[in-house]
Amino acid sequence: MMKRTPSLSARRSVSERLRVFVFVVLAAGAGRVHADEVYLTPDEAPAAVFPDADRFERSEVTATEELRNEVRARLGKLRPTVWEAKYPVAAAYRGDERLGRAIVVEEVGKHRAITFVVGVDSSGEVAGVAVMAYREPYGGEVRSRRFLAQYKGKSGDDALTPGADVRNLAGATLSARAIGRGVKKAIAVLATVEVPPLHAGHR
Amino acid sequence: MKVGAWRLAVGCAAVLALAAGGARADERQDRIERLEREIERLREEVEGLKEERAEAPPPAAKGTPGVAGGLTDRVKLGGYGSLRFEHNSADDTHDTFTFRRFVLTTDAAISPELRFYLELEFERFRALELERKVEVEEGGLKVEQEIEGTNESELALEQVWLEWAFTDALRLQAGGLLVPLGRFNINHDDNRWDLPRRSLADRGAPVLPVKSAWNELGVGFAGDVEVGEESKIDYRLYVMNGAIFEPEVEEILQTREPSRDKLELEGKFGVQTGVFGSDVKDDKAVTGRVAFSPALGHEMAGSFYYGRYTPDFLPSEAISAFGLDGLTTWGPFELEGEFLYSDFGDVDDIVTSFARTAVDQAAANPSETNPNFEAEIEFEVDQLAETRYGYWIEPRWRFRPQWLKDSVLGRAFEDPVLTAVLRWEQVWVDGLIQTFEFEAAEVTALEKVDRRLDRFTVGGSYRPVPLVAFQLAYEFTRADSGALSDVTNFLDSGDDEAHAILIGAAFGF
Repeated sequence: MMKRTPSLSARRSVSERLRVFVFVVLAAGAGRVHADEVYLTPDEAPAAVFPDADRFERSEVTATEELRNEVRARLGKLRPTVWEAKYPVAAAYRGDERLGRAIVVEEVGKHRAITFVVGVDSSGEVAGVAVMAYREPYGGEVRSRRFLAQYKGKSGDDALTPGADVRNLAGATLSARAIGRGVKKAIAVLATVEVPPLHAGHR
Repeated sequence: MKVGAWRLAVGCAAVLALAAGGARADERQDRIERLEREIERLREEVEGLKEERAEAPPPAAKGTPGVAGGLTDRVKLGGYGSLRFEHNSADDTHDTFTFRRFVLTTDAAISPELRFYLELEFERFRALELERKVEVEEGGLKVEQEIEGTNESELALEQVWLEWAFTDALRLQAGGLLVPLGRFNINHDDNRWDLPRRSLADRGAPVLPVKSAWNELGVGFAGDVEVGEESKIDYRLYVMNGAIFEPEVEEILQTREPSRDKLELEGKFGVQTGVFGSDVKDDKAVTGRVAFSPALGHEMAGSFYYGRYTPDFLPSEAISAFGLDGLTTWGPFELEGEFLYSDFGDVDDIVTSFARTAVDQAAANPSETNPNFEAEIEFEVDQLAETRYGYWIEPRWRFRPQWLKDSVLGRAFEDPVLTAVLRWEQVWVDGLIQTFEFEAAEVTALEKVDRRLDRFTVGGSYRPVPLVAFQLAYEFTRADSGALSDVTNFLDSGDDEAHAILIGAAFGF
């Protein structure tokens, strides 16, 4: 039997290590929130906006250029500050009834990104919003239930502008606007794609 | 025969050997081909992975501490500032542009629980230059020092603190912290307001013991607690070095005709922000604020400050201050206001002890010894009063008209906003020391007055984006008696009333 040469073995080992490393980096960077100021993990996020669901089917939407163009067209003058590479999506079910879909998005407040999950029901209205990670020194009240509850029932046709159709937070205007932008972006992405589940999962 | 057999055997062996060698060669060849195919497959896989990584744009602000790029995510630079043009009717004032301030901010998220924040203010600051020269001259040593700078320049740390956030409800803060008396001082950023001048009670004729932005060195706790689904309480409680009664030294060079020319050094004692070094007293100040928000858009709060401000060489007197403030929002309409009260203790006792300590208010070289030149030193107290109290109330209405969004001013922006603002404010200063003279350690003259200052402002702002405001206002300021210069720090006029037009721009980033 021919003995493997060290160079070939080393190359295979390097390749395998490379694949493992790339996987770890991608898993760490996309779909998992920043390690700082984390209030919800990706696993917990869908249940935060669909508390009545008994199972979730998770998948991922890759943000192709075509998707981005369609989302831009839906958003009009609104300009997101973050274009994610992928959107983690979870379809929420209670029994056989599909309640809606939860999607994780990010938008920059004043200087740093806010990561949050938006639940959109089957009629395209917001079922809930929850902040997963908040990183600014001020304006953290956007995480509060009383602020985020304002978005429930809103649709992509609403302005979602603090001070207009949503109450503003004094001292947190930029964070409040980031939430509004992110919610509209989430609605637009989900309206653009029909996400097939990669696998049937359980809560 | 035997030779032939051997030859045959050798030949067969050779053939077998060749065949075996050939088989091994085939095997090697197969293996080589398999290896080449595997290498090709791995190469394609690596290329595919590279393409995937190249296609995905890096998401904003992601990064983990310790990974390359983490520093730029953890440390953010920002700032705010403003400038203004003013036309004022009061005597001894001039139409002027004013670079009000530029404040550089740094926010560092050291770890999930630890944060550092800094604000460095350049107020009316353009340049500060120091030149120093040492020469041997005329058999001796000559030292020259020259300091150049623009008038009213100030460079200051407005905030510099470290925070350890145990939970949202409990955050330990230490450093130069904003004193939470009232609501303006802790929300003083220029771009947050729609008028181009700060309130009287906080700045222009301050009821705050030290004009805003007032910060002191100390430590304490802050936090917020949700109460039910709709309400929230937030609080701050600090122990600090506190404000102090301290001098500024003023140098006055004066030529006089026909009197002799004069060099005067004046020590003006007034209430100022405390030290970041060795305190001049043992007692520390305590300050705090509790705000209750029953529902989003509404807040009411109470605050206090108590602390000795006199140095060790004067009797112990404390500033006792409290504030009430609030905000209510109904759709596009907002109403915000603040009331402050500050008591400065027994000021008679302070000035009597001051006289005893300083002995003589003024001293000058006699004219007989130097008829051409007078040198004088003098001590004064500046703006010391028994009590100060005042309020401001500010209704605002925010518009988002379609014509603005369609116009050249607004069409490039997502949410341009116009705001109409009124502000009504009053400040009372009771027991303001206007005349204070002493000689041989005895007070020889002490005159106190009561003053009231009113101001009405009407104006508005245009915000193309939330952090930028273009402001316009008309302002009417009136003192009930005496000169505006007696009670304000921004109108150095002998008049008792003034009309002003202000045009300003404020920005943040």
